[in-house]
Amino acid sequence: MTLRVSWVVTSIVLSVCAAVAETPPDACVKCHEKEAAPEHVSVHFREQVTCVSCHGGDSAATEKEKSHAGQVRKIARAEVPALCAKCHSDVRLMNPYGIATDQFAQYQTSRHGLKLAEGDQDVATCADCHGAHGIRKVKDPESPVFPKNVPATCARCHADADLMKRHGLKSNAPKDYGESVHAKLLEKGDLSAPTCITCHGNHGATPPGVRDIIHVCGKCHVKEQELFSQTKHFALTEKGEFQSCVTCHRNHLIRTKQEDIRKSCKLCHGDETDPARIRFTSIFATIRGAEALFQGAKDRVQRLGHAGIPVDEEEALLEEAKTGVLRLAPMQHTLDESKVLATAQEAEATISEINRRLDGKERAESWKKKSILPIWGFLLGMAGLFWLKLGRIKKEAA
Amino acid sequence: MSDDPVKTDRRTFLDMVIFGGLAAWGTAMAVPTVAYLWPARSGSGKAASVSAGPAKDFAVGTAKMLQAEGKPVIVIRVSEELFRAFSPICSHLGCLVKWEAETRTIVCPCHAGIFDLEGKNVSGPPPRPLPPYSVAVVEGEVVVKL
Repeated sequence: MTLRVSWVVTSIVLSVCAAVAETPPDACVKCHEKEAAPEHVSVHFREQVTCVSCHGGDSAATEKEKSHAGQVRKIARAEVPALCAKCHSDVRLMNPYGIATDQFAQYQTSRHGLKLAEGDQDVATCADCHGAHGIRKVKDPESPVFPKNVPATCARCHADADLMKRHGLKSNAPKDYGESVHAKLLEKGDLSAPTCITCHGNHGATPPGVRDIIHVCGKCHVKEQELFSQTKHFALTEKGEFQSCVTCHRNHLIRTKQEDIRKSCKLCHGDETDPARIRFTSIFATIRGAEALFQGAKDRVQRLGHAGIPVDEEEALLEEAKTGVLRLAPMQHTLDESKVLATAQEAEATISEINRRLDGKERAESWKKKSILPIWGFLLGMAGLFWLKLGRIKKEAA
Repeated sequence: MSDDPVKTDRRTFLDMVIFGGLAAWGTAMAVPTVAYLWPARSGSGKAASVSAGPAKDFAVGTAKMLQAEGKPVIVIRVSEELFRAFSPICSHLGCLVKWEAETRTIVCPCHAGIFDLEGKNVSGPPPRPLPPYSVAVVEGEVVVKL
């Protein structure tokens, strides 16, 4: 009897084990193959967040009716943020991964989140940026939210003219950004270069207000912000009458060329007798002059270096001069002609020293070339003497 | 005894000039050849290391700017035992960074980028740390290996 009971229990245990072994970890993929993301792609799959975690149902069941039992559903757009937040707002769950748990709270304050709450189905939710089934880590270069991919991800909606028109927005922001100095840096592989989310925020994405722009730009352009804060333009910005940085540089296009900035200045200071216009014209001329001098010295050092003249010391001085010239760009934000001039003069003094040293080296090189003449004279003289000697030997032999 | 100076005929004079010229030519050829074949003094023409002077003259919390191979080098005495050396060319746009003793940070004067004592970019626009050089005290002298 005991033996029979033991045999029955063993059979049941073995049957259950066999059934479990045959059932894949997530049986949903047997039918929903299209939605299944490979293990190496989906960060959720690797962390055992499976289909049922979001869609409900029973992933262990092998029959359709049983596996769909419960609350299997297609998730509505409006439900997505709250659904993701079930885990992503849970401090205990997110702590081990070092993921912030205020993302949902931020989203609710964002323009996307506010519109979604109003019932607008057009706006982006979590899945629009991160993907749905094949969600990758942010650090994964293939992730749509990897820094290099962010502009293209935002452009999927923000470059859609019809969609933007429906919401009273312009669709040229992604194109403008693509031509900006920021985008050029990103293209070069500088992952710290600003993308859309650097200025607008990611989960709490919203356009900065007029008074906030200087702080947004100042996150990276610390020196420019500090110097600009001492100007009359800043006082106007505080009153909300001047759009600080974007007035001259624009917002998405971000212009930095002097001729572009000059056009912006002229919008307010068009009169040629305007003291401000005279001042900025002088500042621009000072900067251009210093840059031209630096470029001239740099080219000369390179040329002489290629000619075989040692220019190690001059190369080191060039770094100093470059620092002086590069300081001019932030310094012009003071709109103070004398400060810009003083900075330019420092750089020009170093450039003069470089040129003075190079003059000496070029003179020495010139003397070296001239010394070839007496050497040739010596060689020709020797040839003549040999010719005389040869003639004498022949004469004696005859 | 005759006091007449020894007379040199044209033939002897010509021979002397020719041999003198040959000797000068031979010397001019031999010197660079020997100099080329002579073992190099210190590995190569370029310096493999640069001295930042005696350690006893290098106060804690100060920095020195050096030049080697046409490139600047910044050396900082972090503590009694620890020296650090970096390329002072800012990883943002290439300005020369400076040591700020009060805040014990390395600061870029152009765009206010800040690097910590390990050369790591901690604030402002620099996208990368400062490239480090190894530095050691050899027989009382601070030596930066390039």
